[in-house]
Amino acid sequence: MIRRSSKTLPVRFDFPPQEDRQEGWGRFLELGAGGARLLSRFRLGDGDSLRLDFELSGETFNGLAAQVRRAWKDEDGYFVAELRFKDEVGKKRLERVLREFLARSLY
Amino acid sequence: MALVALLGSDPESRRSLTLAIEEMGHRVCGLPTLEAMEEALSGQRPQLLVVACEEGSRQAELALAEADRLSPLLPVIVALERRDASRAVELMLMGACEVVPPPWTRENLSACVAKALRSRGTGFEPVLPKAEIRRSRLAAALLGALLMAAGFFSWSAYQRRLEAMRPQANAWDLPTSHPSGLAYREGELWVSDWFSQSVYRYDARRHAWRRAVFFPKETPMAMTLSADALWLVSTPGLFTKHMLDERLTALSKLADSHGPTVALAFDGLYLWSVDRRARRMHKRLLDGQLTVLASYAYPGVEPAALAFDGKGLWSLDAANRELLRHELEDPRIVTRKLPLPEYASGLWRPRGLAFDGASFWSVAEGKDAAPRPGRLFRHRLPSS
Repeated sequence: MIRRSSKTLPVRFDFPPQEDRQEGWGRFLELGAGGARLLSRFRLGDGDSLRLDFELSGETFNGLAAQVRRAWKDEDGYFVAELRFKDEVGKKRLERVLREFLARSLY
Repeated sequence: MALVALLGSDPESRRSLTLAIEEMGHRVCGLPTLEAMEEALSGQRPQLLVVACEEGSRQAELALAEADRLSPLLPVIVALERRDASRAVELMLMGACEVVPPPWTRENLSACVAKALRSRGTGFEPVLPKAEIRRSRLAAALLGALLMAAGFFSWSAYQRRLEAMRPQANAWDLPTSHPSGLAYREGELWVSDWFSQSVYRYDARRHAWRRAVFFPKETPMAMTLSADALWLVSTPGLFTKHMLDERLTALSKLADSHGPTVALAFDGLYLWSVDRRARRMHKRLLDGQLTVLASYAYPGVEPAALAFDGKGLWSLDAANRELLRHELEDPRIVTRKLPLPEYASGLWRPRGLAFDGASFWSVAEGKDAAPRPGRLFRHRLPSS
């Protein structure tokens, strides 16, 4: 079950060096241990590989590998991307942090 | 058109941002200092604050803190002079709703200005206003009236349903619930039933059931009688020819290559079948392979049963609840349509049709989930 926060979590992202694309940023609309939904002004396309930097509940995630399963433009012109995390260790850690965070957070 | 407060100490930055925002159709209130911003937030109540942030300046952080204090629900966009994702995320963590990198053009800004202006934040309503309470009472009264009306209509529908379910002068309950076919021969109606896997014989003159033959290996879905045989189509797609002896002994079996067949009729020379899925009528020769001589598109909507009245081929269209008379040479041509009021209630699903020389008869299955006896109808048709 998704629990909603009144705030959204910002995230910085960049692309693999060989792609020669500029870094970007956005917000997580949803964040789970296996994937996320990202809102960003910067162009994202189906299949893009990303590395995500963000902080949740005092824990820092640097370079969490993710792939865009599907991306589209919303009515304001923002890109919404459904991400799938590819780093198994990072997923386990994110799952633990999310559990702790949700256990002590009351929205 | 919204009022946008624009904070920036550099006149050139303010000018280019003002130009871009005004191009979007909004009014801009330029503010050179934090003090001017505080005054504008209190006095002019803008819908959006844009902060132009020069490199190395901490003005954006200060502005975010002040905006949070004075107007906590006001969206703030920070325009950075240099693209820096880490700084952008920091500012967003501090409360900026968006951070835009250069160039500060209309194209680059329009999406985030639109997003920020549409953002309404959380709505708080500690007390229900009086108007709301009045509306609630009115809604309760309306709901009560609606429930009463619904109750009345339900009761009326129940009565109509009872009436429809009650056997009429030309309708009789069957001893079985799941009829699947109907045929007529020498004063008897023959009814097949898929659930009990049986064929029943009914004396139409005395309204008496005379015999039932049980087929343990067949689930009949359609039935007709030829001069010397009973033809059944069983699931999953099997034609069976039965001798007309006491036990209706099976003579031959053949896979149904043009099915699923839902209706059968014999016109004295050819066997007619209806393929439900393809909605086609097939004219077959009574040879060992039941060779299909011709196929025709069904001219109705949902063919449910077929019968031959000695002159023409008739079908029962379950969707339109009517009988169709077809040209025997080309059944796509309909020469007569007769509505069947017996099916108007929508409670019965027709399964079989037969002609006894004077009237048409049909058998039907109840559409309810609850088991109820099937129904036999006699259709008195107006003379043509």
